[in-house]
Amino acid sequence: MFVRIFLAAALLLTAACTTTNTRTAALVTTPPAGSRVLLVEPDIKLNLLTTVGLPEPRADWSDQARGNLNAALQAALTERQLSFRPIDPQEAMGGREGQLLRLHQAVGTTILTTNFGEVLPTRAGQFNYTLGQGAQVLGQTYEAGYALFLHGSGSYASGGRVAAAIGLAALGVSVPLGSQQVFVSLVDLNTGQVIWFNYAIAGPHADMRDPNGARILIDELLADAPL
Amino acid sequence: MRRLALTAALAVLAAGPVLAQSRPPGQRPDPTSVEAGLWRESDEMERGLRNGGLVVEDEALNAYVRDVACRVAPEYCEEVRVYVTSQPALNASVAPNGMIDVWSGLLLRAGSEDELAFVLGHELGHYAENHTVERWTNIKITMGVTMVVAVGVGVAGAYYGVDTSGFVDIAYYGGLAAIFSFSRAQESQADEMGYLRAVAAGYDPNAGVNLWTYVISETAASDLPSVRRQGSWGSAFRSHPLNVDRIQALRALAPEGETGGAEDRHRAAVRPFLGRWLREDLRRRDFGQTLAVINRLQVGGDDYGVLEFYRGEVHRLRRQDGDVRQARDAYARAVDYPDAPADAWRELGEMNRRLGEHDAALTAFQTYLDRAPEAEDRWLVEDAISSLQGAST
Repeated sequence: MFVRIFLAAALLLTAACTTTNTRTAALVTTPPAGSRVLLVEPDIKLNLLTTVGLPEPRADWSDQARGNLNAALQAALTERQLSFRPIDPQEAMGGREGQLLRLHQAVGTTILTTNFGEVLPTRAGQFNYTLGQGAQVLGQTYEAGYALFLHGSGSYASGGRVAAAIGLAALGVSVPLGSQQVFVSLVDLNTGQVIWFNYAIAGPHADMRDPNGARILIDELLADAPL
Repeated sequence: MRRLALTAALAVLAAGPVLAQSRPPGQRPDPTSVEAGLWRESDEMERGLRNGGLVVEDEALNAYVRDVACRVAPEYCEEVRVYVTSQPALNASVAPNGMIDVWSGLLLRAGSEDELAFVLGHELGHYAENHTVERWTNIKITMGVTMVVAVGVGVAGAYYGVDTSGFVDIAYYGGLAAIFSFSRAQESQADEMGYLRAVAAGYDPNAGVNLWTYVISETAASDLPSVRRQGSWGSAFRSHPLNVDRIQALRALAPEGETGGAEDRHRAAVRPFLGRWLREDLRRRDFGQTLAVINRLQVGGDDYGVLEFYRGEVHRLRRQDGDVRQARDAYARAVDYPDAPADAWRELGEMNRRLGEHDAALTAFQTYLDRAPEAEDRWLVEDAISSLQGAST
């Protein structure tokens, strides 16, 4: 019995590190140095996974993660010698610009559901999404050539949940613990094309509620970005 | 074994609501709390609502609904936001952050300001008692008990080599039933608070009874058997109590024979929207219910032209035996009133044409063109007139 509990606990602790899964549009040109990137403040929703598996929204974690990821993105862009213009989508939700931000949300979700996991047969082996020429409005308003979006959601298991997982593992029942998913997309504001898209499941070392964890997550996410 | 599972299921069922203190006005949640998390989700819903195109922006209508909300809950007047949204069913909801969503279908059906006050009192009762947070906690506890029971039963089964999956299911159904039972208890409590708030603000104590009595009659009038059954089927898996039970509880509160009520601003406030909301109601294609709505709106004798026009529309769209004649008769009644829309003349013409009454059809079409000379479909009506004239020569 103790061996089983020990093995279960060990398995939980050695869970995989961050896994990323990139999609890149054909014929991408890397933004020239000095390009300006519109940095849309990350949209983050984090939950506490309670003992019984009910995800409980935690506004404070979401706020921490949003701030940390935003800072990490700004640092990453600065390192790449790109200038950026941060915007808070809450304040920019009106007008044509707001519609484009919401359109991106819809397109991003579509990419996730059709190009990842069970890939739609008609989408297999290709990556071709665009917000349309109308995206130029965003570029003109904010004087930027590209836009970088990040959406994150997920949950962190409570202490009780982890204990239940270990206890039930001894009975042969597997209890899912929390996981966090992030997707990031880079849009060419001249054509509206989504030129690069990456989806990641955060590893335990990349806890976005912590500034260092957020920095690690962003570095892993942007590792092969055409930036 | 059996006793263990049943006792456990009963234990799950017994977890009833705990009444909390009313929230002090202006209270904001502690940022690390569940409530803060639920508020954040509501804030997002609210942004979605504001940007989603359902909101009815009319200033006078919003001022009226907001004023009724402030009368029933003056202490929360500053902190709640009231939205009227275009949704054709009797409903209103409140979010933990103080967003109140009043559906146009409720405003269309409410017979008086008193009835609206009762519903807003009910929603503000949910808000005052932090019902969303309470329900959340209840679900969490119930799921916890259910999980422990299910694991216990499962383990016992494995140990004795008996298939206990049926008992595990009983535990889960018991848990689910407990969650719904808690929700029904909250709804009953909100009804009571809505009643007390509305009466304290000087509204008619019978308003809640009147509204639910009407809802029962509308449910019974539905074209759909599944909807008609909803009115009478009690179930452990209902979020709201049966309307007959709600009426009984409210009757017990209202003093015998007492009526009251402020001067009624309701019809004047919704009058500009009657046509639009009835048209939206017709999209549900439950003609029996739309007729029930029209009958209720006609009780006071106001707005006959508009209401008879939409009665005609119900019959025109329903297309069952005798509907053409009933539609024609309704349009014919509508055009006797000055508030009938010009369209009533066109449809009167069309129904008369179908009934072979060409002279009456010609007169009606002609009157339509006189009353709506700029109508987009003028050419269509002119064409109908000329073919009728061709047929009669």
